[in-house]
Amino acid sequence: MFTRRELRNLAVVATLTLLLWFGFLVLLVSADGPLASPPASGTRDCVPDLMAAIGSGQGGSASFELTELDESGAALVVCALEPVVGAEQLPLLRTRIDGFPPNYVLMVAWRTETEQAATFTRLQVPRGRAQTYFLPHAPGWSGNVIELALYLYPQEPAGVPVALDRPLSISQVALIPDRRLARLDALRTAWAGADPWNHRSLNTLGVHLGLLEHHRLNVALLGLWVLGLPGVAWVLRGGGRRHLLHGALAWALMIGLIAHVHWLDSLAWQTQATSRIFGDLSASERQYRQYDGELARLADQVRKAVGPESQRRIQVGGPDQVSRLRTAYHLRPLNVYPELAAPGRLVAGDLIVLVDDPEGLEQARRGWLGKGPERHRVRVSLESARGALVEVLE
Amino acid sequence: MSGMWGALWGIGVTWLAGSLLCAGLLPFALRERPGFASTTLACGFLVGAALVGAIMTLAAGSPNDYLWAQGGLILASAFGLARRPWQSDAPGGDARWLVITLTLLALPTVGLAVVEVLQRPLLGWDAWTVWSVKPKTWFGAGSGIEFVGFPAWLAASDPLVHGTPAWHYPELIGRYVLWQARWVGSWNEHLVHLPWIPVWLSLMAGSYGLLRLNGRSAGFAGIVTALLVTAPFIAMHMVLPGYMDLWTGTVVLLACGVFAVWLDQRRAGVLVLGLVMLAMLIGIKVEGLIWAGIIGAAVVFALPSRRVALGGLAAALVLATGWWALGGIEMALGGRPWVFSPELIDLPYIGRFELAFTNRLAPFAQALLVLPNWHVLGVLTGIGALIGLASGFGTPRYRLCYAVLVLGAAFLFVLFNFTPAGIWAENLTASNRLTLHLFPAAFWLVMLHLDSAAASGEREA
Repeated sequence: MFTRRELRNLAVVATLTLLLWFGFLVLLVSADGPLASPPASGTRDCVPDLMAAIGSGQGGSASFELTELDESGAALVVCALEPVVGAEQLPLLRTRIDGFPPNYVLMVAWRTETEQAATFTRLQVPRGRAQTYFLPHAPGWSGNVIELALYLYPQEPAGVPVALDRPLSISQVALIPDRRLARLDALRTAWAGADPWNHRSLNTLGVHLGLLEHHRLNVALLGLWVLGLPGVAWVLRGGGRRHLLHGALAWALMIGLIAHVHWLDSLAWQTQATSRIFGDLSASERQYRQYDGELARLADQVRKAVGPESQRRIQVGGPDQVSRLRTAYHLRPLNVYPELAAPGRLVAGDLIVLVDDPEGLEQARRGWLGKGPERHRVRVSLESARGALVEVLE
Repeated sequence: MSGMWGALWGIGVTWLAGSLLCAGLLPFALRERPGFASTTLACGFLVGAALVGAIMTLAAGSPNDYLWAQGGLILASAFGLARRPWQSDAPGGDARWLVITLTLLALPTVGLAVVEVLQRPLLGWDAWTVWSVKPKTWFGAGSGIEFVGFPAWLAASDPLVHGTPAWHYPELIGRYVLWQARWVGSWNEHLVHLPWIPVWLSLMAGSYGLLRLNGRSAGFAGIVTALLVTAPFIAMHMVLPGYMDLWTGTVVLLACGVFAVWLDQRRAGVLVLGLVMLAMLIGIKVEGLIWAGIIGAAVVFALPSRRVALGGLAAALVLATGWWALGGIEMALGGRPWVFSPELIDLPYIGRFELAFTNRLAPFAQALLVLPNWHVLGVLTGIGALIGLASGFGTPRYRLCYAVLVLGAAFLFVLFNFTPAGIWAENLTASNRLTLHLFPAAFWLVMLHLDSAAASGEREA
């Protein structure tokens, strides 16, 4: 147990830690350096440009909702930049998009004064969270950028635009001048990312703030931090290995608790989003609002068709492993396997659920599965948007 | 009783009966020591869940399987009540406020995690591809359902034979999830997966209680525990129910902690609890067999005098060199080959792995030191382990700590640098989760050793 004196030393260490921590941040924000050079333009809210491009009059100036996409995938944002932004001035792009369709990817594209062809880079889209992208990290970001756009593209190999199951809400598209405060804000939103397990930790701090380009140096500095301050406790206590250890732990705890508060903030955001998406539904209905809700509905239809108590075996086929596994999971407790036997090994009476398999379904509609002497005569019993139940006849 | 009340009942009686059983197992001499109640509570939920899982497995096929398990829990409770009253762990003095503060900091974490688990459908890949497949099927189609692989499933005519690619994975916790579903009364993904919350709480109570039982101060135990359970990779597994890695990591830490107590006390009850923990590891995950073997070997290494231990280490090194020089061991047992060579490992239960070196140290180091999984714990553990090397070599705790570290790290090194499993290290999915099995115990053991060594150094001074 700690003595009163040890606890007092602990409090001193904690206070010094906090002072150093925030002092470090204040120094970062106020420091001069290449990152603090004045930006060519202030923060630019692109949502009005976006609304003009889409022709949508919905929503206020800060957000709007999109309920349909055209068949090619849509160019969502066109943000003409004036005055022209020099790529070396490192603008940050911040977006917040809710209800992102699962079969799409978000791309950022730009044209420069010298390169008229657009350069595309894929962006990772967190669910329901603001995300700041460091455009200098995108390959090809150089020259004077004259136009910037966000595109939603259908993801290969699906290729088929999918209707949105809930409105796509874009509440932020903004270019932010690169200042240290902006980087701190970017760091905070990265910490508080959509998935709490993907957030940034303290050991990537330097990289995010643009101070360090290499993680190893960052980690080494952090190690010095971890070891450095306990020295203060050690001196205060007049030496002793045990106090050095306790000082190190107190120091690490302070860092850990600060980070944990960020983590909690992240989890709170995540939980809010979860509540918004699923909170108004019963436990059994929530699966329909997941990214694979159509597969859950397909499983319901199959269960109804074969009977909930059926002991017939069902094989799930299709080119996409995730779709097969998810469908099989939804179909249980029926006797199901997420694979399809090789042609020739099927027998009359076998049931097959084809998922995300347009080719197989087209063949089944014509009454056959497989090729040549190993093909089977089949019948399609039911169809849905992403799958079908097929019965092997012979 | 059903729904939320059923879920709480299922968890509550498991926890209570398991804790009483553990309190009954631990010797009277430990009763007065601080950390006793926290340790019994921590081991209690896991031992209770394992007991339920084991009885549910034995009673598979019976519609009353959960009543059999309930009977088992009643017997366990009776055993514990007959042997032992409770002792509070509340620390006195100033440290009380430190521990209370840290506990209060844990509350919002648990609260938010509960809200998340109660609303979000099962998310984790392994949860719905592997671990929840069997309990969902058992609940809906009968607990006597047997699972086989694809070829056997195609050939089977018995409707009670179902198929899943992970048919051979251990079923202990799956049976416990079935127990939860029985009390809930329906396959409610949220309620049946609530037990992942008490596992995290068990890790917290176990880390604190076992440090106290091992003679560490309340403040020290509180800080180490807070650092451990707030590490993102541990905390996030509470909101990723369905994975078995938090269970495995928690039991590995508890097993190490219980054996550390045993090495100091040499009481039979503590040894039994430690062996129960090792058996649980085997029932939770395939890798649990490896961790159980590593902990067992570390305890054997820590048990004798320093001289005998050094002799044993030298003999082990000679044997390993001989094994390498001879090209490994190959034999036929039970109608199948057993191969353990530098080129191939083919063992029942473990599986078949062809070994060829591929350097994947960089993603591993990234996962531990650079990526946002462990905050500063990777740095702290690494530096602490290096500093601790210099002191306390003769003590059993030293040998337990470094044997677990070295053997565990060697296992992960071979798995991810010599086998096809290395692909998981590159995409940082399974490598992170395998690290979760070892890392909490590694950090905890290093801290225990450092504080013990520093305390004994101060006494000597």
